[in-house]
Amino acid sequence: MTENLSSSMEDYLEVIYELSDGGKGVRVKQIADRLGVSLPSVTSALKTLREAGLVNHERYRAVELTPQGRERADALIRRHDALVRFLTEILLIDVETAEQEACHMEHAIGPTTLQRLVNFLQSVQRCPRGDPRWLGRLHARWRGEPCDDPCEPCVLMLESPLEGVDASEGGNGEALQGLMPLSSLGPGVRCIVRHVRGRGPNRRRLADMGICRGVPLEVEKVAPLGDPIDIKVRGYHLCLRKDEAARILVEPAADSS
Amino acid sequence: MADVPVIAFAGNPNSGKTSLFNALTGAHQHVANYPGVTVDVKHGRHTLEDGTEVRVLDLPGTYSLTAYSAEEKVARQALTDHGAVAIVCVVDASNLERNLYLLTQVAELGIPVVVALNMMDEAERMGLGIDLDRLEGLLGVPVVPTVGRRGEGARRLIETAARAASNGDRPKPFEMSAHVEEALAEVVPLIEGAVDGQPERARFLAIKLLERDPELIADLERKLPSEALDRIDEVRADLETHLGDDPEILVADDRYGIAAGITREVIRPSASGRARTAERVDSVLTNRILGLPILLLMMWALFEGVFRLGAPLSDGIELGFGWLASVVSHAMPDGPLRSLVVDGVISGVGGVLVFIPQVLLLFLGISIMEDTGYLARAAFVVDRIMHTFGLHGKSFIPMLLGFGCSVPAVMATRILNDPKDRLATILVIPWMSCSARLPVYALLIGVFFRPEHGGLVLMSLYLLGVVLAVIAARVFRGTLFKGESAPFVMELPPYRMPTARAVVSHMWERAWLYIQKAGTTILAMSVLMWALSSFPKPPPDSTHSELEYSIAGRAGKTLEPAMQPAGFDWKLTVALFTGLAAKEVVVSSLSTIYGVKADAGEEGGIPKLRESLRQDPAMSPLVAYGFMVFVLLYIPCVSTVVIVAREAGGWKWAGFLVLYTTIVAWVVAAIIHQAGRHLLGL
Repeated sequence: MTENLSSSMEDYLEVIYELSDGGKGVRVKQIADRLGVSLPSVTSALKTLREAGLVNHERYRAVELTPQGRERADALIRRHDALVRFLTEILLIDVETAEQEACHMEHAIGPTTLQRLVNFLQSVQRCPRGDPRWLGRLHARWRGEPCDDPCEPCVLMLESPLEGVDASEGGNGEALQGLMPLSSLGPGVRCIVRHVRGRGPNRRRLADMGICRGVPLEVEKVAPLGDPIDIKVRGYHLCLRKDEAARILVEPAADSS
Repeated sequence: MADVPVIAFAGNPNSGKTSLFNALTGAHQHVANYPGVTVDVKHGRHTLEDGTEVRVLDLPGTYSLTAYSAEEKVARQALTDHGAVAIVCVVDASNLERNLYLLTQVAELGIPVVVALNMMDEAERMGLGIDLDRLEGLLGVPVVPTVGRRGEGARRLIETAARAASNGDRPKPFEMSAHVEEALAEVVPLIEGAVDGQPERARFLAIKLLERDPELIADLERKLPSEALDRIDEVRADLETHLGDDPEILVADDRYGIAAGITREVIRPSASGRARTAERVDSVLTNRILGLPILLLMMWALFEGVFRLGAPLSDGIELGFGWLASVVSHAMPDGPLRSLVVDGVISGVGGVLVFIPQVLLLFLGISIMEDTGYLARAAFVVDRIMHTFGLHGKSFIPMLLGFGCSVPAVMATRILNDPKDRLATILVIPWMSCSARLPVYALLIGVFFRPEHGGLVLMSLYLLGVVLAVIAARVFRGTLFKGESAPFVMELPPYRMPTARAVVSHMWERAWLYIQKAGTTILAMSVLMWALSSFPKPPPDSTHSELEYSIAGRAGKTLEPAMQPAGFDWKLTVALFTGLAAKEVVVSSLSTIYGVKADAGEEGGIPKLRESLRQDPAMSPLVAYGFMVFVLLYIPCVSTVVIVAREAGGWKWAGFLVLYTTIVAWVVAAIIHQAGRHLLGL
C-alpha cells in the first residue's frame, strides 16, 4: 500500500474528493473555505500531496486528484461512511454527533478494526442466522424499554465477535453472500465449506474433526427427531447438532441433487 | 521402573489401538468401539526378541492434542511426562486422512515415531489400495501394516519402534503454509531459552504458542522474558491480520492440508461393496421413522433376553447351592457354626451368585452394542431427547452403562468434556437401574407376579428410573448447573463385527467386578447380617421369634414407623438398611431374615425364601412393587457413593446424592403405596 498520511492530509484528500464531485477541478479557495484554514496552509498541504503522487496541481490552476489519489480518497470516504453508519445504525447516535466523531475516529482506527466494523455491520444487517432480534432488544434496552427476553444470551453473543472475512475478500464481504448455513441443508446435499463462525474451543473442535475451509462434505441424514445431523466429511461420519451446523457456512456443490 | 524403556501408543478413538496393545501385553482390557471410553493411561509389559523388556503405554484415543478436553490433556502429558523413547501412532487405514491429522501433531514432539497402519483388512475389503512405500516416504517414519483384532504385525511393530528408539530417528516435522512457517521462524529463536534442554521441542512449543494453547502458554509465560512474549503476540496478530483467521485454525487447516495431500497420493480407491452394505444397515437403524422404535426394541430384547434366558441358568446354580447347603448341613453338627455356614455364608453368597447368568447376559448385550458401533448411533438417535433434558447425547452412554453398574458408568462420564454436563449426568446415573438391583427384582417379580407379566414389570421399573433421572437432570441443569452445553460433535464409528474374544473379555471384565463384590463386601455383609439377626438369642420362654428379638429385628422395628407410609414392615426395612453396602445384599439379607425365622436348614436358598415371602401376610404385589421402587431409587451402594465423590470432585456432591435420592425414594414409594391402596384398592 501507499505510505501513511497524517490525519490532516487525509482530511484534505477527502475534501478534495467531495468538492471535485466526480472529476471537476477544485480551487484552492474552495478547499480553504471548506476546512476553515488559510490559503498558504492549503498550498503547503497540496505540495505534500503532490509529492505523494495523490494530486496534480500547478500554480493558479485547479486541483485534480490523480488515479491513486482518487482510490485513496475513496477508501477514506468509505471508512468514514462505515463509521457513521455504525454509530447511527447500530449504536443509535444522532447523525450530527456521528459525523463529528467519525471525523476523529477515522484517523485513529487501523485497517483491521475498520474491516471488522464493516463486516460486523454487514453481518448484523444481513444476519445469515436470520435472527436480528438481539439488536432490537439491545436498542430497546438503550431506549429504556423493558426487555421481556433474558438479555444474557444476547450479551454473550456480543462478547464473541463475528470474525473477519479473509483479507483477500476485500472490504465488501461479498464472499459470504450466497452461502448457506449447513443446518439448512437436507440429506443427500453435497457442499463445500466456505466459512466457519466463532472462535475458541468449539471452533477448534470442528477444525480438529476436519471441518476446514474448502473441504467438501455431504449431509448423510437427519436424526429421527430432526436433530442432530450426520455428515460425511473426509471419508468418515460425523454427527453435529444443528446449533453447531449453523456456524458452518457452505456453498452447495453444483452436482448435488 | 525408570530404567525400563517406555513405548507409548497414541491414536484416534476407534483406530484399534487397544487391540494392538492387548496383543502385545496380554493385558485384558476394555476395547470399546465408542469414541473415548479409554481415559486412563494403561500400562503393560512386553519382552522384545532380544530379551529386553519394554513398558507399553496405551493412551486415551484422541483426534488432536489440544488442552480443550480431558483425554487430550492426559494423552499429551503422558507422551511427555513418561519419557517415552518412541511413540507408536496407530492409524486406521480405512480412515487415513483424519488419522494422519493426529500424526502431524505427534511427529512434532521430538520423539521417534512409528506408524501402525492398522485395520489393513478393513481397508482391503473397502477396496482401498495403499501404497506403503510411498506412504513411508512421504511421512518420513517407518510404517508397519497391522490387523489389531488378529494381532497381526504387532510384534514387528514393537520391534520397529524399539529400533527407531535406539537409532534416535526423530521425524522431520511437516511443512506448513508459507505464512505459518514464517511466523514459526520468528518464534522458534525467541523460545530457545524455555525448552528445558530439549531443542527438538521448540517447534512444537512455538506452534502451541501461536495457537494460544492455554496450558503451555501459562507455563511459558513464566519462563520467557516479556519482550519475547510481546514479540510473539505481534507475530500472532500479524498472522491473523494477513490470513484473516485465528492462527489456531490456520494451523489446523494446514495440518489437514498435509493429511489430505498424503492421502490422495497413497490411496488407490475403487468401488466399495461393503461400505454400501453398512450404509444400508445404517439407514435402517437411524431411520427417521424406525430409528427410535428400533432402539426401544433393542432395549426390550436386551431386558427380555436377560430375564428369559437367565432364569433357567439361575435355577441350575440354585440347585447347586441347595445341594451344597444340604451336604454341609449333614456333615456338620447342629449349632451356631453350622448356622453361620449354611444360613450366613452359603445362603447369603449363593443368593447373589444365583444371578450371575443375568448379569453376564446384560453385560454381553451392552458389550455387543458397544463393539458393533450401535451405541454411538443410539446416542445420535436420542440426542434430541437428551438435549431437551439438558444433557448431551453422549450422556446416554454412561447412563446405559449404568444399567450394568454405576461404578464404571460414573467413570465413563469422563467422555463428557463439559463439567456441567458431566456433574448432572453423574448425579442421575444411580437411577439407571444397575445389575445389582436385578436380583431383588428377579426374586420379588418371581414371587408376586405372573411369569407372563414379568418382563413388563421389570421394564416399568427400568423406565421409571430413566424418567426420574431425566427429570432430575433437567432440574439440575436449570438450577445447579446453569449454562450452555458443550458442542455435540461426535464421530459415528464404522460398523464393525466384534470379535468374540473382545466381547467376551469385555463382558467378563465387568462381570468379574460383580463376582468380586460377592466374594468380599457381600460375604462380609452376609456374615454381619447373620450375626445381627441371630443374636442376642431370645430366652426360651419368649413369644418373639429369633429375628424379632435380634439386634437387626429391633433396629428394623424402630425404623418401621418411618417406613409405614410406603408399606414396608420391619423385615423389609432391615433388608433395605443392609442394602447400603450393595443392593444385591438386600436379597441375601431377606434370605437370612426369613431363613432364620424358618427352621434352621435342611434345604437352604432361594426356594425356601420364595415360599416364606409368599406366605408372609405383610407382603403383597403392591408392597413388593413399592419395595422394588425404593430399592431402585434410594442411596446407591457404598462403592458408587465413593466413586461419585472421587469423580465429581468432592464429598459435597456425594452427600447431596445420598440425601436427594433417599428423599425421592421415600416420597415415590409412599405415593405408590398410598395410591395403590386407596385409589386402586389393592
